[in-house]
Amino acid sequence: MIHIAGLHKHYREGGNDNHVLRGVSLDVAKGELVALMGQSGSGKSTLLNIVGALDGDYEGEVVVGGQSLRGLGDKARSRFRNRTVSFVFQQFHLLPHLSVADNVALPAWFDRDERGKDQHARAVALLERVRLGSKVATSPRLLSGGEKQRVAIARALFNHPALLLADEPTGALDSASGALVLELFRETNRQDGLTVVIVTHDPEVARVCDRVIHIRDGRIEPAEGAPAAAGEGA
Amino acid sequence: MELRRVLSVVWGNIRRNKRAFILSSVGIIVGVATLTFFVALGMGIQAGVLNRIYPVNQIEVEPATVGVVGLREAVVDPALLGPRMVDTLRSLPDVTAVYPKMRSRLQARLWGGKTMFGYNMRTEAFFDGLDPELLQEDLQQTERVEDKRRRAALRKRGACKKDEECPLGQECGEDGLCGRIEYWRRFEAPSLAIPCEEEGSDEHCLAGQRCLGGLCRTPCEGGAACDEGSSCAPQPGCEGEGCPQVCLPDCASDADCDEASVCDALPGGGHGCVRLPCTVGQKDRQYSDSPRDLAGTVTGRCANGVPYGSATCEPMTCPDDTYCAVRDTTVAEGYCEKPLPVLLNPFLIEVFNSSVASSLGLQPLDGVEAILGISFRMHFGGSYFTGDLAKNVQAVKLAQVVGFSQKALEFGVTLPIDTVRALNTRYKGRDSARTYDTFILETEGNEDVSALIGELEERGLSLSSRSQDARKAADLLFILTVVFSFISVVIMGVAAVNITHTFLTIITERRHEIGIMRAIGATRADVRRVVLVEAAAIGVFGTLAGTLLGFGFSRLVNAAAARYLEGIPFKPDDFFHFDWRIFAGALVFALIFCLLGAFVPAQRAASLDPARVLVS
Ligand SMILES: Nc1ncnc2c1ncn2[C@@H]1O[C@H](COP(=O)(O)OP(=O)(O)O)[C@@H](O)[C@H]1O
Ligand SMILES: [Mg+2]
Repeated sequence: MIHIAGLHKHYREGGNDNHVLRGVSLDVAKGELVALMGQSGSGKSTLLNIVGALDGDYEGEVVVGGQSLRGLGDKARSRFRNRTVSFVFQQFHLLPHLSVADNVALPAWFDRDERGKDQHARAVALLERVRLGSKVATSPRLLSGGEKQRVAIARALFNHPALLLADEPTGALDSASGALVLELFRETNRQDGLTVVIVTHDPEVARVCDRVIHIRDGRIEPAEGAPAAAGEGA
Repeated sequence: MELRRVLSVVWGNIRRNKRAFILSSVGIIVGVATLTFFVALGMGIQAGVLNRIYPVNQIEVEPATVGVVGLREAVVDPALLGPRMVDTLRSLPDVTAVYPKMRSRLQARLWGGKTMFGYNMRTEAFFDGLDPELLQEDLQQTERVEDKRRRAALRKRGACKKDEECPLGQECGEDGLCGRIEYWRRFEAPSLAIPCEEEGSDEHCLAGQRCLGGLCRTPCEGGAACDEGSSCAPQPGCEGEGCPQVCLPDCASDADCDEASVCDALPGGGHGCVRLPCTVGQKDRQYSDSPRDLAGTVTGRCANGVPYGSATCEPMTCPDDTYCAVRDTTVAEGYCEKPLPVLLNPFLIEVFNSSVASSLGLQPLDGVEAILGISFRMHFGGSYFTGDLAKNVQAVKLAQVVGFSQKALEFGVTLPIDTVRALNTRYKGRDSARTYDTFILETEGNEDVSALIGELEERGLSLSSRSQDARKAADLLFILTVVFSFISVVIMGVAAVNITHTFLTIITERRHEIGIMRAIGATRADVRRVVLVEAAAIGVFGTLAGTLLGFGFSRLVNAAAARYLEGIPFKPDDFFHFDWRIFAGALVFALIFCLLGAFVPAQRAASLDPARVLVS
């Protein structure tokens, strides 16, 4: 699902060169549930944004779902984000002026093929799946953190993505809500065969994942009991 | 992103942030209101005031003059200012019609107004002549004929055969129904019985006429044929052998002749229109103000149709709408004639209301209706300023106010040009009536007439001072309109800066929203489009509200004008001319400035890095 080889990322600001990713090489198979761990500032979010085509400024090879992200224009990248990957963020990022169901159906706004389809029914079905069937018409403002994150997950699933990228999805939640969110990730991973990458600090999250990838000093640490997976960079 | 989606996003944003939307719109509303108000005012003044005084497609030219020891002298030979000049002017490119204007060349007095003021006002009379054709539209407009007809159509109208059968202020129309009198129709040269002294001479008669039997008539002796529609017959009133032959209009009944003539069997067979001779009884009665005195008695006819002189003969007065016009001040006899139709300049009424009325202790005049149809007397050959002509050529005639025109003489009265020509010829000879004083040229549309003016100058003509004033006024109006439009554009420019600021704030506030949209699939163009459409919405709303505001304000100004400019007659009811083009122009300006203002914010929103705003 994901193939990364020799990925470098610099943040250049005012003469400072922050070399964040220093030759990341990584493969994630279709249907895997992977945890990405590492210290704060180690470049997890940066890596996730590159994989999700939110950030196209890097060197190296990144192939997601068989598609190389190199050299894609804004339109193609937007379409890729709309169809192939989905994000779940720590801060939920729901639109406060829309109802819960409308938030879930948001991806349809940017999808030509969605014209004329019954988006509301699909949104309602997804909300039922994330145990929020009773909050369809509610404003996101009235939801708890855990509920907000479940709405965000429903939204992420709306366009049937192949890959779900979650950046510290439980970071802002209490443990009970976090557990429910985590359960939802596992459920979708099992039932739909969705590939999921979760950035987390929480060992509990890492425990339920198929695999844990550690990132340190801009490189992937070799997995225990496996030969070094990290490439030497370009 | 489909337009529908963009619109719904924009609608949501506006609803969420009404305050910012209204605040951003204020500048545009004020700008559009200013623009709409002043452009409509400019167009309104042009159409309702300037074009009435001098239509865009009309200019008046007169012989150019040079100053010679304190007096002005024409540079062209006055002899050139005759019909030939009319033809020359007509042949100029751009000129579609030429209307010559002729001033009076004889002294005259006038008096009248007894019915209105209680006594007669007397004054020297200055008059000029204009082509009725030139004034038809103008007169109808000033008289509000359309209005009259519309109102008349709503009422039940009585059938009639004669004007007397209709109520006061109404006449018997061509449709056989009573209707409001339309005075503008009366502005045409009446057929006058022009007296003359030198028998056989043509010096004081119009072209083609000669002095026969004391009147200017069209002779046809010596085989000279008459014009079509008239036939050769012995001069009416002449009995016995050797009477001169004259042309008389053909007719089958009285209806074919004008009001002052009847259809008579001619001695040589056939019928012709013959003027009705009349007398007022005593010569002093010609000065009378009483309509009954003026109606006189028709000589040689009986009202009941019996032969004249028989015992049952009922005396006949001059027909309706005519009076007995006495030949001169030394006799009591003359011919029935229609009153002279006269136009006044509205300015005259303004002057009367603003100064004359109060100094003479009279009521100010209120509008047109009060004066239309008023009769007064004109005394030709008499003067308060210079000497009188011989008593036996002085003549007193009845005149009637039939309309108002800005083209009429400011201090005096305006008659049909043919009437002035006949009077000038009668009193000052043929040569005096051969030349015109000014020419009104009609051009096609509102083209630039500068080239035409150049050509006229080569021919020794220049714009009349009135035309020059009109051009100056139009130029000034144009400049003022441009200045105020510019001001409103500046206001919109300020509004655009305001929009930039507001939008930058809003976009910072909404950066997470924009980021999530981008993460979900919005392209940069989508984001930009939402911002620009939101700005366009301000433009559309601002234009609608601004137009309403400007329109509302114009109504206030109109109401205020109606109230405070009461003394000025003929001011337009509406000083504004609203037009879809003003709206379209305002919309275009508003959109341009809104989009300009939103350009930088839209760019900023589109280039927002979603990775940065989403990951905290
Ligand atoms: N948009 C950015 N501009 C400049 N530097 C950035 C930006 N995003 C992240 N960084 C820097 O890159 C490094 C990695 O950040 P990040 O990927 O967010 O780490 P993590 O998610 O592992 O905590 C940090 O040093 C951070 O300061
Ligand atoms: Mg992070």
